[in-house]
Amino acid sequence: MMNENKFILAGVGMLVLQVLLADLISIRLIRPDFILVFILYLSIWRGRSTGMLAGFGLGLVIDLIGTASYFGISSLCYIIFAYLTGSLKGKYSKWPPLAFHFTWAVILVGQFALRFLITNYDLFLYQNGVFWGTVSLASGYTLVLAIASNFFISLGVEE
Amino acid sequence: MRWLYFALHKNKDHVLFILLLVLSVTILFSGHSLEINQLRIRVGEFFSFTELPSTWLSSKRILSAENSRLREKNMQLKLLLESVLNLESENQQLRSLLEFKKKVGWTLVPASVHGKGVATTVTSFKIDVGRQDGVQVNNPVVIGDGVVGKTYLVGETTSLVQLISDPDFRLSVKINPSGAVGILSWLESNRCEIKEIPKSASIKIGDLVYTSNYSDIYPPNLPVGKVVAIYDERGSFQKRLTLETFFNIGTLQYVFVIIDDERE
Repeated sequence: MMNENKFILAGVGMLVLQVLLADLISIRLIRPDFILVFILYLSIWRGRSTGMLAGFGLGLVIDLIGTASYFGISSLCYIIFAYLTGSLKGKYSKWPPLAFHFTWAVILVGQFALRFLITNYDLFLYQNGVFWGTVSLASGYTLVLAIASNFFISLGVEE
Repeated sequence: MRWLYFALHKNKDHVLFILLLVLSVTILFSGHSLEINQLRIRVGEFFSFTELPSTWLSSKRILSAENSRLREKNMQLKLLLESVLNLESENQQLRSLLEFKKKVGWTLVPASVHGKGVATTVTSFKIDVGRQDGVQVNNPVVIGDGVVGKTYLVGETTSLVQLISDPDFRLSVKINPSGAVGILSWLESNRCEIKEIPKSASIKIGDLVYTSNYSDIYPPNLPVGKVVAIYDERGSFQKRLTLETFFNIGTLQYVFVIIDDERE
């Protein structure tokens, strides 16, 4: 079990990674979301409340560091993501592994779909292909990151 | 009251979710309020040092590519200069004949890009000029290749630029040589969409797009990009165009802010 200090340290580490690396490895103006991967682990390991509080705080920090319009969107999306993934706490040993991993992956894609639906509603209405292409690229990039990190630290290790 | 306490405790996750959701939605809808904007610019100025390493790293990466591109551009400009010098003398003669009064109502403030934020999409960046340099909210931000965006939040020494890639960004543009006017919005990567073009307008792929005369923010005739696709849908009174910008937002290092002297 990780103690609180290690979690705080990991959160700060992910924020630093996001600030330092995200821009360097962006593809077609889309960056991977290290913070989202951290919230995923936190919510599944520590439950909804911790995930939501961390998501709210980190989302605000991300938007404060530099977002012109839609200030507060990151907090909103992270809270919903943490609430949904938090419901998977304790399910790793009870559910089939494939169902467990599929569920959080779907929630992750849903988070990006919601984010882009709010910010790019016009695109959703008139350029459906481009909209879903952007959602796929953004969620796919972070999904790869989450799957890769799962090979090193399993989401079920806390159980 | 005891039952209420137990009910709240039992459902604390859901209660917290609703509370945070309401708070987030409130923040999202009050994002344009003066107090929040002031807080954002202060926090942004305080934390601008955190983005220096990433800016430094990306500038190293981009610099060599930029260097070779500039050399090529330099050679092209040298060749162009020769013909321009001839044209200038001819132009001066014509101006004096027409008593043409040259009027440029704006000045350019050079700025370097400090941080491009950390959100999933690149929709804004910070620049190292602010109120001290005469920058105001809604000043156009450009480079030689075209319009980049506009200042959104302005602090004393830094400003937040809303980029052309922001889903909320709109720009009134005209397509030359037809002169048709439309509204530009971002699509993906370095591609944008232009809507509300009359169906009768004669537009070809490769036509150049400039800022129109209808904007309160942008001076007319600033380059924006070129037309790469035309969608003439049946049953619609308008055409849709896809435009490609001449630059890549992800690699921008230096920009200019246009300060309107007349507006001050």
